[in-house]
Amino acid sequence: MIHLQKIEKSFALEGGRSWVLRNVDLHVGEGEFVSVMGPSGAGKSSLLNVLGLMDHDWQGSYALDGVVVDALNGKQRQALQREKIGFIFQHYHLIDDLKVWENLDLPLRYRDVPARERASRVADLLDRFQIVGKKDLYPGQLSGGQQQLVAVARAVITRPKILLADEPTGALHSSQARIIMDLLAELHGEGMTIVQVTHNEGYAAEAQRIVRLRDGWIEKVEL
Amino acid sequence: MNAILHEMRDAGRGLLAKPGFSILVVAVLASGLACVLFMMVIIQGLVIRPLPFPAPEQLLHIGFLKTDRAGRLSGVGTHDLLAWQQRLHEVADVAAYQQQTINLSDGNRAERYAGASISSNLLRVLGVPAQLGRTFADADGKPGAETTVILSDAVWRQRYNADPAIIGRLIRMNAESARIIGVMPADFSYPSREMLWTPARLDPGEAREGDDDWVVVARLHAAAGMPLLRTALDSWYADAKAAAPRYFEMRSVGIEPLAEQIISRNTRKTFKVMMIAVVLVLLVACANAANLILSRTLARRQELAVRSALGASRMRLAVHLLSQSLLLSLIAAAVALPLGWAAADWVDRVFRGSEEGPPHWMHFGVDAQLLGFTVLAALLTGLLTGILPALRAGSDVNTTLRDDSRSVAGGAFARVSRGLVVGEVAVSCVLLVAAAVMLRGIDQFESADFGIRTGNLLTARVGLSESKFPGADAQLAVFDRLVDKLRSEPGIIDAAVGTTLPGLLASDRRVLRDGASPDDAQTVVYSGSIDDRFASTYELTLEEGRFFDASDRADSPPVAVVDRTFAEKLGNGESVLGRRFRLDPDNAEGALVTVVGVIRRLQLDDLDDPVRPALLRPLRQQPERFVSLAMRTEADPLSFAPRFSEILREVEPDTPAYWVRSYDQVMREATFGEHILARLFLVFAAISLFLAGAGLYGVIAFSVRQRTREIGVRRALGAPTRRVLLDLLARSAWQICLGLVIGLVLAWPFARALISSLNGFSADDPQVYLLVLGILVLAALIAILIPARRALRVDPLVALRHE
Repeated sequence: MIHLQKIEKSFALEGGRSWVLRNVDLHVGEGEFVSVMGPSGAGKSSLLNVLGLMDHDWQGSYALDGVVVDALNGKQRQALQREKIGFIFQHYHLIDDLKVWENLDLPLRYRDVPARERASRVADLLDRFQIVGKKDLYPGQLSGGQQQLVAVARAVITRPKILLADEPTGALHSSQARIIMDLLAELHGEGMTIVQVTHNEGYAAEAQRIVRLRDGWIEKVEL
Repeated sequence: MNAILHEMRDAGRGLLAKPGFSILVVAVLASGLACVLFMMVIIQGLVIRPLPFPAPEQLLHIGFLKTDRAGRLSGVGTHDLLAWQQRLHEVADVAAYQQQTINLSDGNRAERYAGASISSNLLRVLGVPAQLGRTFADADGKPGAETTVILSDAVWRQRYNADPAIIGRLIRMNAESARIIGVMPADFSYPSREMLWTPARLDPGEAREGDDDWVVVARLHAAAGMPLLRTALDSWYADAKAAAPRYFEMRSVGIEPLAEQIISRNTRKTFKVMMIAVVLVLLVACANAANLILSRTLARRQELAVRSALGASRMRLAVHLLSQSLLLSLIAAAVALPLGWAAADWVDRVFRGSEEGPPHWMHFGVDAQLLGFTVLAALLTGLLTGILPALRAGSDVNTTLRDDSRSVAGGAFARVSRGLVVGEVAVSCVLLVAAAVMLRGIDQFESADFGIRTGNLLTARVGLSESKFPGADAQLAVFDRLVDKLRSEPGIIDAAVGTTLPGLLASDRRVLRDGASPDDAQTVVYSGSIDDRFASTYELTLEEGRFFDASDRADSPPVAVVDRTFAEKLGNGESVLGRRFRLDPDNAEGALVTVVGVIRRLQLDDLDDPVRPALLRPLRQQPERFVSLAMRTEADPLSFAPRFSEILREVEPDTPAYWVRSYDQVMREATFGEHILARLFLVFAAISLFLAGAGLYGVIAFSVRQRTREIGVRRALGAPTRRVLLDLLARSAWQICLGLVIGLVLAWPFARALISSLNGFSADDPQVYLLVLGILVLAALIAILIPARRALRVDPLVALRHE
């Protein structure tokens, strides 16, 4: 599903370059669940940005579900991202002015999904994530765990092949974090490819592989 | 389309979620739009809306262009009017009018009306039929025809209770009998606010040297064009000049659209400058709103980045942000509409209450065209304010989603924001200078020295009917009786009559030293005829010789009293006392007057007319039947007005007085246009100053908020308050300085253009510029210090925790 070869990313600084990613080779198979770990500044978020097609300023080769990303222009990259990828952020990043159901509806609107189908998919997810009762509330009226639950629902509503989660439990206390991790496991069980960045060894271990980064290099891959 | 609607709805909800921000932006944009709308209402009423006559583009004003009248067309004499009617009849119908005062004294009340003596074809040329009866036929203008009159709808309703059987009735007009033949439609008045029309009797035998009193209106035949008319006029001019070379030495023929005769080119130019001014106000408002929206966009950058990560394209985000600014500007337009309307209504009411206002048929209101204009202006405003945030939408997505990205995005936005503030300060500077120049000019007008004592003076105008009082002796006798009666009244110190009202009314005449060749340069002076009490009533200051007295009879040698300007200009360094001057040297009957007195400088005509010498003649030697009365009172002059009307009725019941006003009121009327202009500019400048101040405040407040942590660190490290404040001031100083420099460079030519059509105004007074600089610097200091002090009041520990 994901094939990174010799990915490098750096910033020009006075007196030399600052390397963010060095010679990264990473292959994630379809339906695989991978955790990325490492200390601050190791390049975890940068790697996630490259994987999520939000960053295109890098060298190397990247193929996503058979599509060679480095050959795409901006528009094509965005189209590919819309089709294949869903994001979960540490700070949920729900839209404060939109109700829960509207937050779920938004990615579908951006993909010009017809209204009837949008309504049906939103209703499905509200049921599945057991947040029907919250559908008319605004994010500010939800707890952190509930907000992250909505954020996960929003990430998967477009039925992406890959789910990228940047410290999805980082801002949650343990019981809420547990619910989110169970949800990720469930999605993985349904065949979704998941890459999560986390600082929590326990949650990292729930994935099939742990990729450890240090100073932009892949230090080791644990099975 | 669906997507756009969705973004619009989303944007609307976002605005509702931040009511404070939305109200602020709407207020800012509405103030700018209201200014533009108000100005458009005025300009459309005065300039754009066509004359209310059929095929108005065919209507022209033809007149003489005199070399000393700076491009303004003047009237023509009967001789030339008749010649034009004859020579131009194949290309145009030529009509004419003279404004006149008409007194109606039928029934038991005498009333004075503004009226016009019109050629019998004028109403046909304008294309306006009567609503009742008929307009004039050619026979009505023939010598010996019965005196007839046409009433306005207002006179018909107010004086004759809309009597449907009014046609054919005989009434008493100017103390003689006249037959009503028609009533004009409700909205009709022409040339300005006239309410009665009488047919002119044009005498073909009249000499060319008579007064140039006829204003000529022509309707170009549909088949003819301007070149044909021009050729016909040129051909007439060549013949006329060959026949009377001296008369036409300083005259040529000019043509202009009739609309330009009503609203002169100078006035149109002033409106153009004002339009530029209000567009500048709108630009300041746009810059301000753009700044506010930029700040808001900056605060929303994470949300926008999330939308982008969720699949929103940059175009979609741009549409989202543009929807927001468009929505705000449309709401602002909805607020601006009633505001602009109310302001225009105020001007309309002021105009209608003044004698200097435009004709009654000019209306000021918001029609479908202006509504469309407002919506367009609002959309344009929305685009202007939203384009910057929209262009930056969706950039820096990956960095924005990280928590440490605040300063990165802030830097780019802040640069744009600071640039906008520079523009706001510059434009405010331009508008403030313009307003200050106008106010200074008005102040100089009001404190001007006319050469008279202005306090406690009641003035009025009366015109005796020629038919009731034929000849100068009968007219002078009425004036003498009136003045004597007034002077015997308690509370009246003195009273006088004269054809002139200093500072407002005078006639201009040409003067030549006795003995000079008729070909020598003639001096144009302001002149008036006065009685023996004029000097004491107005308290003129005699410098040499004497005032007029009983010895200056109609049949004694012609005499004159002149002012210091006259003496300096025509005395060649010697006293003019006892010297003789020829009045109207081109006229064979021009009097040869001997100067018997010299007074201090006297301003006879409007202050916005050129400064010229003054020459006064005894009313007995140069009689007129229209005079201005002046009464020096002991108490408030207006309190004597009712008693004055009673005395006039006792002395002459057929003659009403009009323009009964204190001299202070007269002066206010005289500077009416300038007052309105200055007041409007003051409003524009105040709005602009407020907007610039608010803009500066917004930018500084935002920047201070961004730097709260840094300020906390500095203070924790021991930086004194004064040092932090100075640092904040220094960071903003360059924006203000740059804005002021640009503003001052632009203000001078702008102010000069504004006052170019107003005499007596100057854009070169350095005090004006210093004052504006002071005001703007003060406003800027306040705008900076308020947020800065607020940031400094925050505990350093709290500031350090600030995200």
